[in-house]
Amino acid sequence: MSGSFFKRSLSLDLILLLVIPLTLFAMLSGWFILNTVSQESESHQLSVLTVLADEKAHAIDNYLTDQLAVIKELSKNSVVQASLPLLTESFMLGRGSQAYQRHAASVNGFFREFQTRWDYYDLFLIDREGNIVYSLQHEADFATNLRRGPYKQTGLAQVFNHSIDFLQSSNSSFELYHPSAEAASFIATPVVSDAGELLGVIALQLNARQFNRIVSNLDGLGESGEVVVGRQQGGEVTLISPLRFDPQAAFHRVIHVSSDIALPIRRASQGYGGQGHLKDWRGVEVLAAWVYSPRLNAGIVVKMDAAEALMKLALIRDKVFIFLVVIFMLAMVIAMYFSRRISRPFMALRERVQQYVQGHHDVRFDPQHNKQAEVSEMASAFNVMADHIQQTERARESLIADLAENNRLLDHRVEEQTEHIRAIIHYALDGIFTLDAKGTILTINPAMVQMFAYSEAQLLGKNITLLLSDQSRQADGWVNGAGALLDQISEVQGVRCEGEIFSVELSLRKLSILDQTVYMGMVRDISERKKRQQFDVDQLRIMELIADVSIPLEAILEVIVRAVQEYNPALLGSILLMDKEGEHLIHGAAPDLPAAYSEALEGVKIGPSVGSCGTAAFTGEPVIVSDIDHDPLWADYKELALQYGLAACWSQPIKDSHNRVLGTFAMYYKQPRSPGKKDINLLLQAVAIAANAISRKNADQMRINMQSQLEHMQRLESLGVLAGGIAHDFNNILTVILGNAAMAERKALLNPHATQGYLKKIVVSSERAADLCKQMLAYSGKGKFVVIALDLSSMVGEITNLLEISISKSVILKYHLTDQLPAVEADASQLQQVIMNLVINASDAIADKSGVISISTGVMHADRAYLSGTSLDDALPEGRYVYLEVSDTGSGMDKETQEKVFEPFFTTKFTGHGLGMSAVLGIVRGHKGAIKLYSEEGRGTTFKILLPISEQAAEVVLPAAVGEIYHGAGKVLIVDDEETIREMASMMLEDMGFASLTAKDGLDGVNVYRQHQPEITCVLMDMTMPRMDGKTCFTELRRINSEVKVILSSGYNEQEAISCFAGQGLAGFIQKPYTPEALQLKLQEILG
Amino acid sequence: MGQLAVRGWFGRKVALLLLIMVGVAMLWWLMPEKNRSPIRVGVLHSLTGTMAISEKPVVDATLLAIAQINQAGGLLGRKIEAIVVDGKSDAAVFGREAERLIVQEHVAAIFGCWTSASRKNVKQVVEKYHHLLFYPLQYEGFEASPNIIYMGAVPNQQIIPAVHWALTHLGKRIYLIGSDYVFPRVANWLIRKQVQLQGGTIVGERYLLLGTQDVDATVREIAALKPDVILNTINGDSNLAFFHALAQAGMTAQDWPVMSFSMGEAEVASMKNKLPMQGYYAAWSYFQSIDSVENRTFIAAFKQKYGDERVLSDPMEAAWVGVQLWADAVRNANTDSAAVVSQTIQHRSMHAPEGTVSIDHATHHLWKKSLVGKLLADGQFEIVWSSEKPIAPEPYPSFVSKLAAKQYMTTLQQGWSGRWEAVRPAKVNQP
Repeated sequence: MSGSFFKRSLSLDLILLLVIPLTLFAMLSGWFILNTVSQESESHQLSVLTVLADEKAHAIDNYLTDQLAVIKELSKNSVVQASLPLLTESFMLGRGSQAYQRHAASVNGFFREFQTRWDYYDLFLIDREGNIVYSLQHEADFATNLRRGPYKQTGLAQVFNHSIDFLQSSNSSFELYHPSAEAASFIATPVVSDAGELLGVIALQLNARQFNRIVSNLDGLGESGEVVVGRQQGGEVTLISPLRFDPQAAFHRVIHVSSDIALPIRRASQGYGGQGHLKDWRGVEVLAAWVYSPRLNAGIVVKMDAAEALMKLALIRDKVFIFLVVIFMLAMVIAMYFSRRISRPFMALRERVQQYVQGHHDVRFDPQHNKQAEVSEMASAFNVMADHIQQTERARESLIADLAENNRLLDHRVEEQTEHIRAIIHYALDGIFTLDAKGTILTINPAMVQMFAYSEAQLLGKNITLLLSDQSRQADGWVNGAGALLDQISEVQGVRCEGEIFSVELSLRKLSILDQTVYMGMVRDISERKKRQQFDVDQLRIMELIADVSIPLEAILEVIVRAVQEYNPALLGSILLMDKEGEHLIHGAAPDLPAAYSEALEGVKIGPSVGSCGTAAFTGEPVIVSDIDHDPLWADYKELALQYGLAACWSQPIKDSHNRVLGTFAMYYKQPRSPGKKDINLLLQAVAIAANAISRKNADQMRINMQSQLEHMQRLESLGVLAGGIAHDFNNILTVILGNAAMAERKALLNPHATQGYLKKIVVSSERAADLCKQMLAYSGKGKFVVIALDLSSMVGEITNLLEISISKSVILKYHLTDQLPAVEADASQLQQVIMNLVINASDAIADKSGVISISTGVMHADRAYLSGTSLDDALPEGRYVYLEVSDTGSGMDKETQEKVFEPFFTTKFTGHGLGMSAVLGIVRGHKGAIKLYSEEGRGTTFKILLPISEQAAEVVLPAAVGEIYHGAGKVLIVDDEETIREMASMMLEDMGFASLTAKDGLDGVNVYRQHQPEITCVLMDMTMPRMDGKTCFTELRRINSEVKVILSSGYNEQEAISCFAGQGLAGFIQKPYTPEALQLKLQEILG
Repeated sequence: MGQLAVRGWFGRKVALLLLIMVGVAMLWWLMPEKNRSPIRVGVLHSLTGTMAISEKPVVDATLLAIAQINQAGGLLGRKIEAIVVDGKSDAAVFGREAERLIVQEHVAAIFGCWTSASRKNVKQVVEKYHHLLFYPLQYEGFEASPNIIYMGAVPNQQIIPAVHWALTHLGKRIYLIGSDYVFPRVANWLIRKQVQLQGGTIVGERYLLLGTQDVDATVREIAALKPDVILNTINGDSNLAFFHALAQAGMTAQDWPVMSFSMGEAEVASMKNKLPMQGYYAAWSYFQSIDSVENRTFIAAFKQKYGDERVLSDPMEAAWVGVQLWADAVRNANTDSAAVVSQTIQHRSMHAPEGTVSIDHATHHLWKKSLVGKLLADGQFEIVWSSEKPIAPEPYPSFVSKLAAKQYMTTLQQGWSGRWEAVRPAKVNQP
């Protein structure tokens, strides 16, 4: 407790707990008491003052009533009763009269004695009329009349009137009475004789001194008390007695009724009683009580300075304060006593606890020692705690012993485990190391030492960058510390002692070992794995090469060998192939074997002991020769091998899926060597790849052969179709040539210049013939596969002749060819074949009905959705394509047919061999294009071929020039679908002097004829025409005019042609090609 | 520990209980006084019987005063509760009821009585219990009980000045007529003495039984005697008969002036429509026609509470003033104890509707002015004379000895077989 009084403690809390409420209570109750007492005190003081005011009024009233009683008695006095009539009578005689003097003298003694005894100022006897018949003082009022005289307004007159009129005694108020020149009050009473006669009035002038003495009696008003007496007259209140603090106040101090001071006297003089705490005329706070005195007709105020009146209050306040201080002190003492009493046991407890802490664990309390229940309970609790601690202590000691034992065991285990870990690190195949923050090698395990081929001493204390290639150091940020390599497994380039760079897998972690930052790393040599991966990559590449038909087998095999060699640089690989007969081995690939060695072995015949390869190919089993020098299999060849430093050769037969030996794969080594497991695996893998490559290439070869055979056959078939048409075509061309040539011949003699046009015609037609031949040659497959950038529209334009001769004459070909088409890269002849096939198929679909085949070209944008709907969806890119569309109005195809249409050998035609559409597909594929098929049964079919746009411009094909011809006379209708024929015929006819009309087919011819029938003298008509052929047309013409003269012109021979028109009145026949002369002869023959 | 916890819990509970008790006690102690019980006062008048018609308006005025005080916040923070009790026009009942009010109802004061008979009975009760009665009526005097505050005028404040005025202004030949009970008898006894002193002549004196209508003989006598003035102390509706007879006889107010001492505005109100009352005189300390702020306020309050047609008279005003003075005294004494108030009231004064009134501490009577009024056509009085200032009450006029007065009174009482009025028929109306 000592020295820590102001620290928070139980004692202080207890003291505060006791003192604060006590003090608060004392202060509150003190305040409350003071407040109540001050209110009560003021109220009490006011009550006291009211009583004093009442008493003062009472005293004044008593004084006046006493005087009234006196005068009443006096009025009954015999002297008065007797003298008044005498004086009244004698007064009539004059106051100087003897009678009056005598009467007056006789009573003077009596009245003077009375006056002196009672201290009156004056005594009057007044007759009934108001005459003052007697006065002791003989002042100016004596002998005047109170009803009429100068003093009729005085208090004396008032009391006289009251007495005489109302027969009552009364008093007047104190006021200045002029005859006496001082304040005066009068009392009067009627004098009634015993006989019941009103004699007059007796009046007394009261001495103001006596009244003032009563008023000035300040008993009970202390040092500051004051009595104010005032009378209201008119609008003013006049004080009628002196004041304690203003002795001259009487009749001098005047207060206006409406003034704002001296409220009590104003109220009192107006007839109100009351009390209050206010300021008086001096401006001093006073307590005042006031009453109205009716007898005095004045207000009486009794007041006292508030300070004095409430002095007791101040005393009480002081006492209360002292009382409070005493209570506070007492509370303090009590609080301290109790706080000590309460805290003492705690101090004792603390002492015991300290002893306990110092090691006296046997210290205990006597719970009975303390009377307070809480402390004794606490003591018990302490004892229990001490016991408990003692027990716990014992338990702890035994526990410590156990723990020590455990520790020993643990140490042993730790040692074991440490050894274990050390062994793991030591014997790990991966390199394990630790670095400090700067990359300095702290520890390193033997695997690491071995991996990098340094000694441990060489590495310890060196920077880890020593073991990294420059490239890895740069790339992986080793220059600036571990950086990017932390917390991951990364692949870096390591450097061995001798400088060899190899791939390692490095993992690095940051550790904290005993507050030291250490990097722990593991490295694994992955150079082997990398090689393996490389080999796998190579293998994939090889597979891709195999898939590419354009790459020859030898090249692929060489790649295989190189891949194997790359994997194991020590070996030299060689592939030998079995020849077709299966008896000799021929060169496959051996890029690094000496060329002479390879040549020496070329064509070696296989056998049971022909080196490694020959034997292996013969037996179909692997042959491992570890040492060529000593192996019997190599007996015949070892000199050759040894000559080139080849010491070991392992050979594995290459077999296809049917277990047929395709060749061998050999691995040569320059040192004798037996294969390990890895080597065997490599060998088998290489062999499998080689087998794959060889068999695939063989299959490809077979397929290519078969394809070309198929195409050839297909072309032949097409040619068959073409043959008839071509003959017809050539005849037409030849007709033109012959015609023009004949005309030229004729004209040459007369006008050599005129032959020019004919000759030109001949040249053009000849060129057409040559073209046709070229087309045929190309089509027959003799043309080369020449890819050029070409305009598809132009190309279609070029083969229109071929197309038209290939289709039924009842089918109309329509062209919708877009000009300025972007070029495509294509082989023209192959595309022509495609178009031809499609058109022929279309024509076949229309069969012998009439129909239309439309050929359109254009450019379109094909998106992914569109491309996926095509029959070749081999990942063609989206984009712009040039298209060729062939659509017909034929029979269409059902779903089943549509699905099979591109399959080889599928056909719906009796004569077909089912290769046309598959060829089309092959060609389109070859051009990296797509083909789309729309077909509806009964409505027709559309094939749309998309070809990628070439970046080169198309080679322009110029149109052929046209010449002129000689003319004759008459009007002839030429009906021919071949324009050149029509033109040539027109020329010939005009040259002969005929006019000519032309129609491009039978229907047209009928129409023209109908219009120009009268002018037409003759019709020159072709036989085969679209829309309406010659036969039908002839029938129609005959229907218009039965006399019509029709000359049939045809490439077919006359018999065949005329047989169709037998008996129908055909005018004549002219064989195509015809000359002008032949035509002229025919016309002359018919027309006459 | 558990035991400790229980003890702590119990301790808290006890502390809480104590705190609540202290709080309730504090609230009770600090509760404003206005919530305490009201101050009860008794209003003891005849509500039934012959006097009811006169006394009910006085009850109204009394209750008006109580209501006004309550409206202004009550007295000492308490409301005043009026216990209105019916005296049944029976003096004996008045005595009993007064005792009941004091003993059972614990009233602080009694406001009541009209007839001297009832007052004298109640006087015995209030003197016995040192209680307090406020008596609102002018009366004959010769009494001064410390337990009664006499609000009405005594003869020296009403009759004597009025008689002097009559002698001076109307003439010296006087005819006295009155009801045959104590007040008229004593009044006329005094008037006779006064007139003698002041040089007048009493030409005739006649008494009528209370409530009688038989006035013809009297009127004939008056007509024959030809007095200068008739001094009338008739009470009740005999007045109506009297004035009716005068009118019948063709005796006008102008030629046959009558000065009445017991006929106020209330009585005139019932007569003025039947008879020409204009020009007759009355003497009171209060007329409704007094022109003062206090009176106007008083009239307005009364009419607001009871209606415009109601009129005020001297006893009503006196009753109202009585309540106000009592209330003032209670305030001053800070208690409603009758014993204390009867002391503190002794120097009370106030501006009453009639003017300044003060309680004379020696006699417990009021200093009052004396007025003479002349009736106007509307039933109101024109004040023709007023004393200069309030006149000190003299229950025992100085020109009559107390002994003589006592002897005269005793004689009267003996003449009436120990009662204070002449034996009268059953149906009597006595104001």
